[in-house]
Amino acid sequence: MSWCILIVDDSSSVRSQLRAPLEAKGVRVIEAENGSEGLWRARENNIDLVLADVHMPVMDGLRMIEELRKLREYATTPIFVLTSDAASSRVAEGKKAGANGWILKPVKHEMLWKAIEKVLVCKSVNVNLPSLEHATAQAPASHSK
Amino acid sequence: MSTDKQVLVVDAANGTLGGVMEELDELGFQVIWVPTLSAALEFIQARPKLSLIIASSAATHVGGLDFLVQAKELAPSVRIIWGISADHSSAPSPSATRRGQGPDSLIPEPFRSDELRTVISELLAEHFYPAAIAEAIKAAALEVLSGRGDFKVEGGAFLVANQTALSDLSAVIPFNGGVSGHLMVGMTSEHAKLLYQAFLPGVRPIRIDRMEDLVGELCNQILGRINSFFAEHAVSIQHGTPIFIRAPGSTFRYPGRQPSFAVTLVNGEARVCLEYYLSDFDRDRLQSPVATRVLQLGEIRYF
Repeated sequence: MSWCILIVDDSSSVRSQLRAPLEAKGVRVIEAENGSEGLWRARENNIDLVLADVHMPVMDGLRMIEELRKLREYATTPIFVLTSDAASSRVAEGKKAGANGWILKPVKHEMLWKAIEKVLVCKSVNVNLPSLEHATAQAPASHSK
Repeated sequence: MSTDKQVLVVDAANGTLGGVMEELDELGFQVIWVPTLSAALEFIQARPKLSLIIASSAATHVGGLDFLVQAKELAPSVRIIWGISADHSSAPSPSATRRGQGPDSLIPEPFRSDELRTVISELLAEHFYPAAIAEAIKAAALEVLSGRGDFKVEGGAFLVANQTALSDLSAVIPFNGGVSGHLMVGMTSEHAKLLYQAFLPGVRPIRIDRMEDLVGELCNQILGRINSFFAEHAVSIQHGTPIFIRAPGSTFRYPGRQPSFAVTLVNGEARVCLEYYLSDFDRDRLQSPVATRVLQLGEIRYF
């Protein structure tokens, strides 16, 4: 599998926790410590999916998502917010910023992987991300990019 | 100060409860001392909204049972800690205790300060941290920590005055909004290492900054779960990133006189200390049923 995932989180523990199981699935993982570095890494690489924390120094995750969406090559790239913040108002801000989903920490790897597969497979067959819930049942079993 | 944050100490003039009175004062209680049970009854009649009565055997060896009955009649919600002398002459009879006329807690004298502190904390915690919040704090910590092992709350929860002894590694996250305060998670380096090995198996080297980062992230996730509880009651809270403190043996002080709600969680040899502090809170906001459904763990909100 040749997917490339960008993990943006100021916690090295979280990045390490996410990295190992993703690499075990054959995913190439790129890390960034804050939103600003995340933008830089995204510009330098061809990222298939972004996992972004919200509360980070320098530039927070929602601001980074807004900036990413301004870049033509990341206009439709799946972006999940991965945070400990469950407040409805923040979730709404995430949607407004351009995220495709909101996941609460701590996350189980299996659940996260299913979500990642879901969006990347949908994207690979050009199913619109906003209709993910309906698209899942129709998505093919193939996982190759 | 509201009258339900008052503690009445019944002790002989040269009694043993002086240190306890100081501690209660630090926890934010108004402490009133009287030397006899009759003086105590007069006080209760005048101010029946007392939180707690602590009576030493020096003052209770005569007329103890009558006092207990009358005190509960005058102030039904008051909690009573009763000192028992070495010869047990001050102990209320078992039959009285069975009839509900006994004290809430019996403590042998001479008082051991840690034992008395624990009992007082348990009896008074509700005044600062309603049961719903206390349960939310414990549940949040267990939910986050139990991803890597079977953690349990050791003993009960207890109150800590605003001058906490710090461990090797501590992370503090302040929050504000509908309520304000902070959450602190602390542990020794040894326990942090055990936790690191459980949460990040195979990730080497185990450096102090990495262990500290894990402590901060756990603090962040636990606070997020507690905030979810408030969000369900339409109380919005914002929090930032962790502040790290490496200062074993030092004392952490914060403004305000409210105590923190403290819990210790253990899993085998790993031990995590957690202190949650609310500087202000309108407990009436929790009286209404859950107003908003928030995202739960294991749930993904797709946009």
